[in-house]
Amino acid sequence: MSKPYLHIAGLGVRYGAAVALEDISLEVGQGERLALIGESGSGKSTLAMAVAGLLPEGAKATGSVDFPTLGYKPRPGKDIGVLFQDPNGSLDPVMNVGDQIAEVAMIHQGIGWTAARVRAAELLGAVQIPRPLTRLNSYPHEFSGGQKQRIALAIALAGNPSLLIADEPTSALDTVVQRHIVNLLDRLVRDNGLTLIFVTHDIALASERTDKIGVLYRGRLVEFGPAADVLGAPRHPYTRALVDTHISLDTPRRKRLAEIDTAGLE
Amino acid sequence: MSPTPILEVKNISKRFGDRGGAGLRDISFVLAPGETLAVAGASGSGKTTLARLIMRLAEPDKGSIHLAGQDITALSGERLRRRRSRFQMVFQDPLAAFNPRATVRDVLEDPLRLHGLANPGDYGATIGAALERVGLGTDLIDRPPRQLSGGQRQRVAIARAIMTKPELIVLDEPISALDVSVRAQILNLLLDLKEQTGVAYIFISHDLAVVRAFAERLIVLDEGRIVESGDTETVLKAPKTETTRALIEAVPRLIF
Repeated sequence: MSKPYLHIAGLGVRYGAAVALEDISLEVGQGERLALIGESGSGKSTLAMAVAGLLPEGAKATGSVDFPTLGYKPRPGKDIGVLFQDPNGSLDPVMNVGDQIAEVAMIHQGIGWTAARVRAAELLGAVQIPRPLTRLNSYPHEFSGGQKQRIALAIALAGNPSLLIADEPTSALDTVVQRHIVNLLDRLVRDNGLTLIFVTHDIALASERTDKIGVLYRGRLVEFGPAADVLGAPRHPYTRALVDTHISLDTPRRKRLAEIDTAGLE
Repeated sequence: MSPTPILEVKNISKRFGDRGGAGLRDISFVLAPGETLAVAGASGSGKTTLARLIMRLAEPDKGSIHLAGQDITALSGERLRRRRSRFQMVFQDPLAAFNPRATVRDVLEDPLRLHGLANPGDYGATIGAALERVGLGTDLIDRPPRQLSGGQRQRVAIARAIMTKPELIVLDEPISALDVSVRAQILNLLLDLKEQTGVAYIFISHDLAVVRAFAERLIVLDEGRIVESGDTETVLKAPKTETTRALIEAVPRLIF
């Protein structure tokens, strides 16, 4: 059997006395797309950041996170690109976007500044910013929220990573912009053969866009497997409740909406 | 004859929204007492500008807004202030809508004091009753909102809004910042309050699945114009414009 791209065994993360993750084990193949689902505080972002090597100071990790096909410890920014929920937090407001992308390309691809600026224009085009060459010298505030997230995606891809981690990349955007960004993300991941970890609270989005789903509940991975299996035959009551209470365009209309009974989940 | 509408928006236009918001072009609609009207549209369509105009947080360039038959665009100063208790708003991010140094008690005392709704001696009991109505216990009354969960905070925001017994509440994306698991609870709370009090809602959202579950009527905005309006189910079944089709198509489908 071929080696997995990502192999996590017995991973635990603590912040002081607070346990954020407990005994997580999973494997992701090269080019696979994994969704991590869970509510705030479930540990889904902590797991993504543990994979990215971006746990905050003061976090204590046990267990192992390995990249067998890579054969070395991945460098964040180079081997792993990360896209966060709020692009305003990732973009430097006083540096033009061309320089921000070029900086990453230059550092991680060992190319000169001119080549890096050319690469920046290519990447802006790849994330569908219209007239990319003329926008290199624009600043983040000159773009809309959706465009800023595209630029953050260009930066995440500038080091030519093999893994892209997207942490709720569209939660702050409206559904129409969300659809455009997710379509773009999907295409770039496929075209470049990237492995994707997609953190989301939206099971429908996960079901449309990923191969595997992991569900986190109170720091534990309570469900992990092919998306269709996890959602079609959930084993954990939290997953079951998420599927049952999902509001879709064809949910039968009723006087009240189905709620998740959190007390009944233990 | 039909009863006086709770809200009548007549031909309002605004060249630019304030704070860089989208403008509005010739918007008219009517809301009956106890009705829920959804305003849907993508970012920049003018949804929030419309909410701010209805709340009299901004002035239209043209047109007028009538609340229970009275032109509130013609009101100012003390007369507007006295009228304000009758229309309230709940924001997407309640944390940004509360004074960060206030406690839950402070947040809920403000409307009582500003509108003279209770004797100071009765504040405690009135606040307790409001918390109970939104499903919260009085144990969190001395906590600042940032120590509450997202769902609890939104409940406090709803408690503040219903405190003045308004006839209209503008809900600006009230659940989109909340965990999926608490969204239905907040929507159900709003539905219950509507049934109990007959309050009317303007429900601003970009998520048509949620709109369909919550609002009987819908208007769709695009670039500051109403491009489609009608019974929610009818509009969603047979959308007539590309804007509405794009909004429908953008709702993620649960597939397995």
